[in-house]
Amino acid sequence: MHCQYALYIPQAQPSYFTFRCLALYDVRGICGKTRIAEVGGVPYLLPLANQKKVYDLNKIAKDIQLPGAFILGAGAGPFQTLGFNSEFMLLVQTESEHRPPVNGSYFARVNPADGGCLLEKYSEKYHDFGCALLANLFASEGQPGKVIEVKVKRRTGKLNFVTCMRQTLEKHYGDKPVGMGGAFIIQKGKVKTHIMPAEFSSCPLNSDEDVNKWLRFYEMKAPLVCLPVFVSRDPNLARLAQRIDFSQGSGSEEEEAAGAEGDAQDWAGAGSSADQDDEEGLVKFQPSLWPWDSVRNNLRSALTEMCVLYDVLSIVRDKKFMTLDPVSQDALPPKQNPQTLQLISKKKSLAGAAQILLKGAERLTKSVTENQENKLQRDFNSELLRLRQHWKLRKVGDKILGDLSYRSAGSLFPHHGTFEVIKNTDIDLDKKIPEDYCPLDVQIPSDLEGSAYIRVSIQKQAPDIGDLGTVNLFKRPLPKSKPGSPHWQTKLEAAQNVLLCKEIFAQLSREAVQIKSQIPHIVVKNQIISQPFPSLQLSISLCHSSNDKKSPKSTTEKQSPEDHLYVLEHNLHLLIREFHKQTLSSIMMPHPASAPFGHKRMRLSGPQAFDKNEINSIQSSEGLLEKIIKQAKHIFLRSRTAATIDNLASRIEDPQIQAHWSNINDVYESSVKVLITSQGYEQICKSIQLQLNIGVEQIRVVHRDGRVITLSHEGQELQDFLLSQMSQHQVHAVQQLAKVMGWQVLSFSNHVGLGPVESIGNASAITVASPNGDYAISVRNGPESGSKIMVQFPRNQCKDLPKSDVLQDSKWNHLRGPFKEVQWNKMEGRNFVYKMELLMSALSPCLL
Amino acid sequence: MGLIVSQMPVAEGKSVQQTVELLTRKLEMLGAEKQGTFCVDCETYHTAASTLGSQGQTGKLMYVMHNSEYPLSCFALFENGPCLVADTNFDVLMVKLKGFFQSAKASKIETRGTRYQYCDFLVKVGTVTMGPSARGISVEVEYGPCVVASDCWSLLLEFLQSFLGSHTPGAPAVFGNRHDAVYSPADTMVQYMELFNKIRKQQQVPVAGIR
Repeated sequence: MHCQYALYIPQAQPSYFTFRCLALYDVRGICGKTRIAEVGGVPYLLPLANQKKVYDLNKIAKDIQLPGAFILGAGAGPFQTLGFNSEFMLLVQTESEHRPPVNGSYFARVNPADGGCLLEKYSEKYHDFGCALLANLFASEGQPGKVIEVKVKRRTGKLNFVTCMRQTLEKHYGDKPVGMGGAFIIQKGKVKTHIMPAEFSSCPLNSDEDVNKWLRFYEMKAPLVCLPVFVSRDPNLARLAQRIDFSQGSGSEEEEAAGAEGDAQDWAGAGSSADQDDEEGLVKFQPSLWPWDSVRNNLRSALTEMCVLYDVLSIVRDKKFMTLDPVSQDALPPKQNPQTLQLISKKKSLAGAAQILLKGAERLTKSVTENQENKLQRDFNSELLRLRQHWKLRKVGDKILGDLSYRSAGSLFPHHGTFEVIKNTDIDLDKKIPEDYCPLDVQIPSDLEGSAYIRVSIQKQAPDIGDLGTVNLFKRPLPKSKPGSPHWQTKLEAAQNVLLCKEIFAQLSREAVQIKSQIPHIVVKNQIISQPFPSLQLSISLCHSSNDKKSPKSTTEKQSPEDHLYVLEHNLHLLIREFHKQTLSSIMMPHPASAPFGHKRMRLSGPQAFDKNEINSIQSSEGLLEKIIKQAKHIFLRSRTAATIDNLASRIEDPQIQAHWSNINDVYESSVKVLITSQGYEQICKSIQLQLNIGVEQIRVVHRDGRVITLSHEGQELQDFLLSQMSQHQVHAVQQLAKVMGWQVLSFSNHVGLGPVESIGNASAITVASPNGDYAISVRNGPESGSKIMVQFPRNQCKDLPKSDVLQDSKWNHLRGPFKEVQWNKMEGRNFVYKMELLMSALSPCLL
Repeated sequence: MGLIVSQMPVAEGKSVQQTVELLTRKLEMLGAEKQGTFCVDCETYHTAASTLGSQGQTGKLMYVMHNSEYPLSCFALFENGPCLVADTNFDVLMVKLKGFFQSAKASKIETRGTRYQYCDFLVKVGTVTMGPSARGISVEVEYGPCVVASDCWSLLLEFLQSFLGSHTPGAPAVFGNRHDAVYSPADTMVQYMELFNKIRKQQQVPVAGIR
């Protein structure tokens, strides 16, 4: 039995406690039906706190058959209410029929602010009657009666006061456990005692050392009022002793009551696990003085068992109360009887549970198979349910109508786009149902049947007028239905696509008629023809093939799918969606209550006082057709540019032309970087780098030095420009080469005004002199005329030089003489720059 | 877009209507083209008594004006004070601000008339009405190509003389303070506000005379 005592410091004089007990709580003593209750136990606290163990004192009072009991004692504070762990000094008048409960308890905690100890009155903040984990309670009716007064002066040994009292009781009463409870006051001196910290230990506290580390010890000064409750000896021991007689009448452990002189004991709530640790608990809650405590405990328990064994043996030897007989086999079954009974009952109940489970499982499998069957059968209603998940349906009269229009997405197309849901009944029930049978069918309007697409193409020449308006049917195979998706889904999707294509075409043709352009757009039947550039024709046509087989096959063969501009077709779809979104957003989107939420510039037009013209300029927006024509123009311009560059690159090997196309494009703008280099001389010949920004109507060429040239859509213009750049490149390359070779540049001109006139661009020329000045090379390069290279020799090397009258002296022999043309095509070397390098090195004096 | 707003006095022995007709005929004779109509209106608000300070401070008048030339805008002006340009929702806001600004009763004054385009000049001749009765004539001349009003002032003056004759006004006060400032729509509205105030006062004088 562990003896806990609790302390609290009264605010006034030491006699305050008694005073309070008697006056405030209608308690005049601690007598009358006294009981000791052991609630919970140390195992709930150690090694880890079991936070489920919470108790209510009112209930405990009822459990010990003393409702309205006056309870004093010690325990752990109700962390369930407080939110932290604490020591608890119980002083409670519990609830009874004619009295409300009163809680006069105190709790001591570790002060979170400074780590000191803090005593607080429980009822000041809380109004429940809880306690937790463990409590040693002394309960009485609160009647006046005889009590024992113990007066002590000084500590003489290692044992503390309560242990002394307990041992005294034990000595006097011997085997009989006698409980004692009450209050004592320490009037003078100091006491070392512990308080549990606010947090439960997160790691298990397995040894006394751990526990002492966890606990917080404080020295407390008198006066202190203590509420000890203890029992003289372990009642378990008595129980063990009782077991020795093997008396048949011994009841279950929990119900066992041990009579004590004067004091009735009731072991409410004392679990068996609590019993086992009692001895340890006793030690734990005394400040451990001796390191061999646990060893001693084990020895003691061993001793107890030995004693019991010794007692049993002695009793057996007397043969007065007990004899040892060989156990007969027959005797066994009745002994096992309760166990077998238990086993049988367990078996029965398990069987019952199993039956219920099996039944449930059977039902589940049944319903699952039914479901699967249903799926196979695909009844009309479930199909309808699935249809409703994807499409808008409504009931009109006895018909079910659906909506496949884009109206809810912002479309303004007047077509209703309604379809009717019908029950597919034309099936012979006796015959085997085909795989793709669907009890639900949809009837779409006849004009939305089949498949349709918008076809955008660019043609070079205008077709014959006879060709105009012919339905260029290009029959695409119906898209195969995705596995798992029902038949109606593909049907409806196709119909919706037809609707959207029709809307796009309607919008385009409306715009084509409205827009005033220089060359009017032509709308014939299902074709819109526009001329973005001269001799170029953009045709947008709506191809709608109904499912009937009448459509002639010849037309389908004629149409080659290559001239499709899939990008534009896709962009048309994107544009119409954008258009939908615009109409939707201006009406539906969340907006301030005072005004619609329009374009930003529109919103600013008020505060910035725009006049009518400015507002008009904001409002005019580009239509679908204009946008798509612009895109088509851009695409055409881009492909034409690419073709021109590729053509040049393949045709002309020297110099090389490289094009680096940018991956990131806008629908109206893309760019390409063109480099003109000579093979093998890429490092020194970097003069020509062009950035071509391809727009809608024109190409802007940004030269490396920042010059900007604007070219029109005509491919020839770009080609001429590139050719002139290439010819310039050669001369630039000579210049760079001269720098490397140490030759001097005598003259340089990008645009020579002399010589034959080039049809495109200008010829450029350079003259370089060898390092020692003996030779000079003159290069003239024109885009059309090609290159002409002349070399000037010193006079002394010219044989056929006519004798001059003026230059008689031999010193003039070092003057440079006339130019001679180099037969360039007979020069060795793979390209112009290489040839030039060879020429230069040949004319340079040998340095060796 | 230098612009001038002036008042044309009613000719002797003629009604307002007749004078306007006279002017428009003159303009048409010059060769100006009719280009629809225009309308400028002005409503007066005074600060509510409850919000005024205790030191006998008089409430400022606020004029809320609209001009058909700027169809999405609303102008709020104080005399000699700032000019606020807002969108037309401002009118709704004024209803909410009843506690601070109260609409003066029967104070709505407006001018309506025809818009004439004569080359770069835009001329608007309007009849100023207050309630049911016509009170005067307003003439607005705008010279489109110029954004600094003081630069084209003499040009405007000359043009005005050509059809207003002796009634040509002096330079408006708006140009006085800022010589090189770019002309803004608010300046037009300030001129109209001054014109309306002048016409209001004229109307009050005879009333005082009768007393």
